[in-house]
Amino acid sequence: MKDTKDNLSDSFLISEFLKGDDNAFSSIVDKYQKRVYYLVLRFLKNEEVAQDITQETFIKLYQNLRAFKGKSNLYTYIYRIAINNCKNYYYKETKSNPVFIYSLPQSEMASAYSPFKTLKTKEDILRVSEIIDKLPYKQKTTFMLRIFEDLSFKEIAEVMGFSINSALVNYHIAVKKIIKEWGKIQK
Amino acid sequence: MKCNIKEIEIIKFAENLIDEYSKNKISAHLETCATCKNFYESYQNLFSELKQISIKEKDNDFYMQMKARILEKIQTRASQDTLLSKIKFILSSFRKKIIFSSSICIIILLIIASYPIFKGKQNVNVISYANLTDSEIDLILLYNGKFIDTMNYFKNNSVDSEFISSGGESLFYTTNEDEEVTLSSEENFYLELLDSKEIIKSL
Repeated sequence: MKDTKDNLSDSFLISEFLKGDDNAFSSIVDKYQKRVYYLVLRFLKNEEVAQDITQETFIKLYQNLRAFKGKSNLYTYIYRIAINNCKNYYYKETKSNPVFIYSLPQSEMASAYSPFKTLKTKEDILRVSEIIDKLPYKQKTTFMLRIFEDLSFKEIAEVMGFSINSALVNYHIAVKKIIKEWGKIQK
Repeated sequence: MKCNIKEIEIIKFAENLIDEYSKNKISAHLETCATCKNFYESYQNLFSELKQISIKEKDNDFYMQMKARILEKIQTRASQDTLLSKIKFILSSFRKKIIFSSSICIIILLIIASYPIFKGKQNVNVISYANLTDSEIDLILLYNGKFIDTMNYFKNNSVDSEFISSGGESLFYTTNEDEEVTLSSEENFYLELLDSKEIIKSL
């Protein structure tokens, strides 16, 4: 039953919501809340704040869904709200100490050909996570949306509100910095 | 030999964002350029390894509770919005009347507040007194909250006159005799002061 609900198309859910069916909105929350929560948690590394921002994202979505024109995908629209909420927090709030939010990777991920020291331990993951966190906001967000959310550059551009080329350039600079910093740690 | 391929082109190649011709060109270049090949491999590994860093899973209850909170907050805000819109509706219905009555109130308040200015009334306070005789009282006077002087208030019942003196010098006096006098602003002040004798008596 849940699968059927999850598989309902976004356009169908939106049209049902616009007809006054609040269950359609409930289905949208079911479908996307996990992705939004993970996105925010990866970004801010604070579970409580991530829950609050996820809730706020869906409340804003509810308030603005009638104005959604369907020019982009619903999830990029939701991501955009979530990223804006993160941005507000990112700039306004004093950063709390980030917690370790990751599960440890499987040992088989270590690859013999990798020029990287493979990310096997908690310390390795923390180090690379710190490198990503030190990136400027646009580079960090673009990088995270590509790597962890698997968004295309077109989708990233929609979420971030800039051109595909800007998305590519921000991503390229982020990649370059991360490879460089990670190389320093390995030495 | 200087490499003429930019790193961003290699990322585009890795991300499959270039046409077939460019793809073949970069692919051939990677065979010969160690720097670009190293960057390409580093990128591929960074990508594949970071993608495998997953976040600790939460159980279904966590998401059920979060969803319940979201829907609850939406309901609460919707009811608040309804109340707010009702208040706005009421305010807008009576807007003209409210603006008119508020303006009248403000005008009345301004008139009341500015009355002493129009009248030229000074704020004279007696903060201390001592009965010396039945007809003589020592006063400490404040004028608009500032210390003025210590003074004496006299009333001479036999000639039905009263006056205020400071340092033994008579500053102003009144009698019941009918005479036309033009008063200076200073004299007006002391006249006001004498008017406050009611306060002195009540003390």
